[in-house]
Amino acid sequence: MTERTITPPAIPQTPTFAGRIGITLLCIYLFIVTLRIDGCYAPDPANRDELPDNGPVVGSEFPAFSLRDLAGATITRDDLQGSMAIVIVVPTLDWSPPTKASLVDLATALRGRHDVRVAVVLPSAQATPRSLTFPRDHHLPFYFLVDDGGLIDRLGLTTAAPDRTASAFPATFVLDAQGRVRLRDVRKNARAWLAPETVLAADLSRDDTSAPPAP
Amino acid sequence: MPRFFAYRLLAAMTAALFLLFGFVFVCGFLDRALFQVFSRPLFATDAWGYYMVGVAGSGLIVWAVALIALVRNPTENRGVAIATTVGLVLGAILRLLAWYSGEYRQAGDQLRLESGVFLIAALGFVWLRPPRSNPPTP
Repeated sequence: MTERTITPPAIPQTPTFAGRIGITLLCIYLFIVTLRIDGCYAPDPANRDELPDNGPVVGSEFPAFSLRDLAGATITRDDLQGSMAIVIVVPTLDWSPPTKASLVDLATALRGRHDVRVAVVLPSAQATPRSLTFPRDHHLPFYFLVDDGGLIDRLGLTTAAPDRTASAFPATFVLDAQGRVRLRDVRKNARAWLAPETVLAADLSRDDTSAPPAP
Repeated sequence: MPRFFAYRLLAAMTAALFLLFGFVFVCGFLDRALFQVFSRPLFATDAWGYYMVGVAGSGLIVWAVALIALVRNPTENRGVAIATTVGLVLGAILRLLAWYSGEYRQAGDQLRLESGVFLIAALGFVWLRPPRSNPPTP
């Protein structure tokens, strides 16, 4: 009985080399994305006012409101008085990564500051279950108010979301202990937001010493 | 042979890292589910989150064992290197998406740093891999 010798099949090297080139190009592309992704959105140290005719001007009182919190409690403008307060109008808490990043940023900057009250006003059309997951997951120490009282409309900040539902231009109002606007930042795009340091500096730079101490 | 040594070193370091994280993840799950050894939970998540952490930890340990086999015999375990490359690239993409989502803002640039390290390691697994050895002649 003769024994047959099996010749090993020739191993093609070309597909392996092409695969290496392909994965290398993908890695280089992703590496460039890694380096440049911080240009997608970032905090902006300078405040901007892209809709100067809308909303309360600096020095005036913030409009009265009475809105429902996520926990079901009713929060009014008077509840924010007595210490520095920040009212943030957000377009959504779902489909806008910069908005979520800005709120996490602010919460980090405010860690240990119990004298600042923050109210986040969300358009009622955007108060979807997906949107409401964000504040519940992150345990942010803010009031999350659903605007079913037309506050965003009265501020003139209503706009349309990509899905044609009602949304809002992103805006930040820093209020003093009397409820007057110290600083306003209104933008048409959420890709840049007012840096928390600038928000807090608005309180530090206050010149009226007659304000009662924070409770 | 420096290239061969670098390849084995890369695989060994990756295996050690996966083994460490796998062990921590499994310990976190066991601590939450059974023993409650630590004074506070290792991860800020719920019971299902710990379950997923435990599953991920088991997967990482298995992956580390496969990488150890690669370190012992690099030319015969090329599939492990290819799978590791794919896993590292996917991990890098996942971290970039996590960074972009805004939900992980507190992590700062750590996610981008991890993504970069994963990509460099993936390139190492691609270009340091030794050539295929010829199958043994019967």
